[in-house]
Amino acid sequence: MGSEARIKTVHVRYFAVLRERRGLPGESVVTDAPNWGDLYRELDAIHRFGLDGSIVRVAVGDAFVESSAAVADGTTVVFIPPVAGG
Amino acid sequence: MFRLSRRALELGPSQRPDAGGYASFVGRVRGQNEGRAVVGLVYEAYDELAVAEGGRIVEEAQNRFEVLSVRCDHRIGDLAIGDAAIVVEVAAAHRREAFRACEFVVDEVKKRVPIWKRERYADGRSAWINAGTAHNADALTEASFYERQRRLPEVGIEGQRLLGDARILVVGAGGLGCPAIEFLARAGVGTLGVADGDDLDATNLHRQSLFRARDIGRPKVDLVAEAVAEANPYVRVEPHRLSVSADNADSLIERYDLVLDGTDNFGAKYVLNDRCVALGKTLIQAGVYRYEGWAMRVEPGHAGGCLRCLWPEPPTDVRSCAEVGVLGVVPGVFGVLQATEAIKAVLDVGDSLADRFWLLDLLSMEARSVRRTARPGCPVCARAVPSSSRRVSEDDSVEVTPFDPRLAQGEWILLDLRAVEPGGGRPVSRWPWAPAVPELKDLRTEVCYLAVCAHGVTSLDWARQARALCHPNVWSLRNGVTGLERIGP
Repeated sequence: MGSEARIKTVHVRYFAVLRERRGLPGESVVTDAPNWGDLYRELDAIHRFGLDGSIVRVAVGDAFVESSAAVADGTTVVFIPPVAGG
Repeated sequence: MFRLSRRALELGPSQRPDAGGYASFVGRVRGQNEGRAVVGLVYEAYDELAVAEGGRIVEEAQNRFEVLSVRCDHRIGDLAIGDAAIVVEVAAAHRREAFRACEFVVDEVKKRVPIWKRERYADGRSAWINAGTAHNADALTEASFYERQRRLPEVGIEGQRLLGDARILVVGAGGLGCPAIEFLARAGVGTLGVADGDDLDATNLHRQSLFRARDIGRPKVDLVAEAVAEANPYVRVEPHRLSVSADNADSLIERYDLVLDGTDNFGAKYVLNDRCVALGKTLIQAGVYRYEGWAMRVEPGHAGGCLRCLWPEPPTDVRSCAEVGVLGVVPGVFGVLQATEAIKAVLDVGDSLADRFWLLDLLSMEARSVRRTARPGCPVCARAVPSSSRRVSEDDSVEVTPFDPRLAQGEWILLDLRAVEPGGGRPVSRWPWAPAVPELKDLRTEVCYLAVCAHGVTSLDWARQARALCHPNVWSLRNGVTGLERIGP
């Protein structure tokens, strides 16, 4: 097994509808997901966000990253769905 | 009877056999205001509202006083010193009621009728003044209005002038748009375009801070124009009663320097994103969801990219405020934030949100600033026209070079100003094929004018004067004919 399959702990923050569906602003998650897109799908399978991963943007630290970027242990990730209200 | 007239006003009192007293008042254009020499002025009215409100005033005078007839005519358009701007004429059986009704009408018209005047001063500058409030309130001057803000080193006299020259389009007079419009108006943004096709609905009132319960059913853009006129007489609203779509976006956006997106749906947000990037206009966007929201600036050609760099296609399964509910203060916070970002763009101060996506959760009070970068292959950014609106009053907005791509679009009329002498007289071009230079007031709005002179100085001055008279499609050729010769064949 490669290093990607290692167990990691990440701090997940949810924005807007995701926060609502989860019922929490954020949580710490232990995962072996290799990339952020996989982590989102893993969480979606549990919490039924109802939003396709392709439209959820991922921010790690202070920058957007691709969902294919590798999950790094100990980081904070924000899942951001599009929001248009006004 | 209340009328607006583009022609010289009729002065003499009419006669009727049952009237024993006639009182009339004529207001004329003065040669100075607040110590500045005035060379002329332009009155501009929001016609429908002005006629309706003026009609109400005349009716009130007829009900309140014992009069036989009341007439009030107000000039609009270009006026010279000494021209009659307003005429009120009252006929009554007796003089006392005639005098009182006449005074009432003049006072109320100045207070209530949405008519703006643009004074042109001897020093070449000009300024918008709401005929009503400014004349009525002796304690109010333009300088005192902005005094607290002008003290800021980042604003000062020059910054206040930049704001006054700025033309900002706010799309959507809703939860985001209302607070944004109000603060932009109070900051002195000289011209505010407001586009919204809706009438005021009861469900708008908990968050749309410019409106009042008594106005349900009236067009929002009319209400915005009225509210802004009351808040700040020195700025002007251009109401556009329409919903922005791909078909009308360009003609609307082109007339402004910066666009503030106050819409509540992705369809409109993507149209504004795409067209602003293509036209080189700075766009300030925001979106809210219940207690959270985001804001960002799209600066065409900037490394931070655009909305499509984040989400390439408009998402379809996202619910709106109408469906999920929203706390009124949440769009309020973001609308004010957008206004702040717009003012910073005009003044060119501070750090911008051009490469950031700024998030705020008002329940947890957690804020986040996420760095954005343009997505390689973004079709919108690939065709970006670098933003022309960072400094909206820079000469770039009035001057073009011979290579400017805008010259290839639309119908242009070339005007040779080399023969125009400051003393007047009939200008004759040195180029036999060039049309005669029209008077500024005769410029057409549906074509573009390229003014050319020897060095680009006279033509720049002329183009600026035309712009001051609200002719947006007038340009000056940078460096004039001399510049062309330098480029060579």
